[in-house]
Amino acid sequence: MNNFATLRLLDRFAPLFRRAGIDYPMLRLILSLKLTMDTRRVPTVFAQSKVKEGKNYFIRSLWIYALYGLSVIPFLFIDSYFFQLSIIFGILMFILMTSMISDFSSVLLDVRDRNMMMTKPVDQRTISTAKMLHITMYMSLLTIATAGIPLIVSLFVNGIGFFLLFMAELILLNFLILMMTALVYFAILKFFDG
Amino acid sequence: MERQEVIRLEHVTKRFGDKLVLEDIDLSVYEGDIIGYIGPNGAGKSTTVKMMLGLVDGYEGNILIFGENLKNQDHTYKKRIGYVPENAELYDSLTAQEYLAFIAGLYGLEEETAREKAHRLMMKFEIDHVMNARLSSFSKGMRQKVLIISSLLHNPDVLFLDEPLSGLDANSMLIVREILAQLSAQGKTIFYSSHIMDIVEKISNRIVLISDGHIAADGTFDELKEQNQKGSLQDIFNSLTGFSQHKEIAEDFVAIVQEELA
Repeated sequence: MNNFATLRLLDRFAPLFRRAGIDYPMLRLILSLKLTMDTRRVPTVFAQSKVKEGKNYFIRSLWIYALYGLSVIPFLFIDSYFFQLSIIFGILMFILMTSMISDFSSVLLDVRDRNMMMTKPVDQRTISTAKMLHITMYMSLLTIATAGIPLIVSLFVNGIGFFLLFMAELILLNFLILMMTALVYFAILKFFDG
Repeated sequence: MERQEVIRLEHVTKRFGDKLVLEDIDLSVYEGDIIGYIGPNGAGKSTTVKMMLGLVDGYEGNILIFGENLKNQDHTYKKRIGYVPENAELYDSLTAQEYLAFIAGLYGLEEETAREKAHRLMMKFEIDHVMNARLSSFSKGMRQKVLIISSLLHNPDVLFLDEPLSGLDANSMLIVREILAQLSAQGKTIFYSSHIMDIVEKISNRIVLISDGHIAADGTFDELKEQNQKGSLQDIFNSLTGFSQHKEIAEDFVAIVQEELA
């Protein structure tokens, strides 16, 4: 459970984390655990199919999202930017947010973490950083899978300026979705906490 | 040899909203103590344990662990503490081996030694054959064994156990009881909370009964027997918590169950 490309990438920034006062080996340990669990959780898109051991279900589900992403490509050819982007962002927001709510609830809301990690000699800052990095990784992979192909198509259809702007807005979109999902959960838990 | 004080609670008071959960608790725990921490549901047992583990804060008074005030120290004291939580929450999609390696890693243990140690401990509990199976396929008792191993891997000085025997079969229970006795003989402190009075009576060398946020009794089983003129811990528990109508309640309950459905 130690062989993730994302973690190896993260290793290069290890001195940065150390300087920020974060226990890097601990951070890496928590992240590798989270990523391992991600590969084993069966995403909602596969909920109907049979589960087999030893497959990375998370990576496989990304292909389905790429397929969803293809559906926005025709809208790139609409003349008016205004309509074009309203529709595209509407669709992307819907896809990302629903997948976020369905698949990721187990991560945003993992109440086990508290009992499991808070009782161990790990400081709160490292745990929070690990959680944040995990969410970031998940969101980026999902966004790249969904919007990657439309992004490349837009480069050829609308030019480099459009491409860069589109990319920047996707990042902002992610922040918005993260915020909104957190708020939705917050509201739900506030009113339906039994 | 003078026994050292390991845990000390000073005037600890805890409120959840308006509700007073613990009121002015004073308690000293020494090394080698096996404390049976008992009390009715909702009396504040788990809260006390969680406060000592730093899971719950916002209390009044002081909690000292290993002679240091919790408010002034960082997370490193947890290296010397083992904890078995009351509901066996595990990361289901991991295998037992991975889970134990992860916990050992959190305690800062070397991965190879931890794996090897975990394997040997699992052999003793006869669960080594499912070492590489997902925890989701484990029975309650097997999970409990994994939790007990995970709390002991780093050889802690203080052990907090919340219903550690639930789900274990009679033979495994005997093993765990013996483990606790031997750990205590080596000077480890065990804080044991449970609802099963027979076991508490046999395991503990000191019993603390908490009721309505107060310590209602504190002493060895013999001392409590002496004070209360009762034969078993069950009876002492009932009389100290002021409970005597179990028969009437049971009768009413059965009567309601048997009511004709109109």
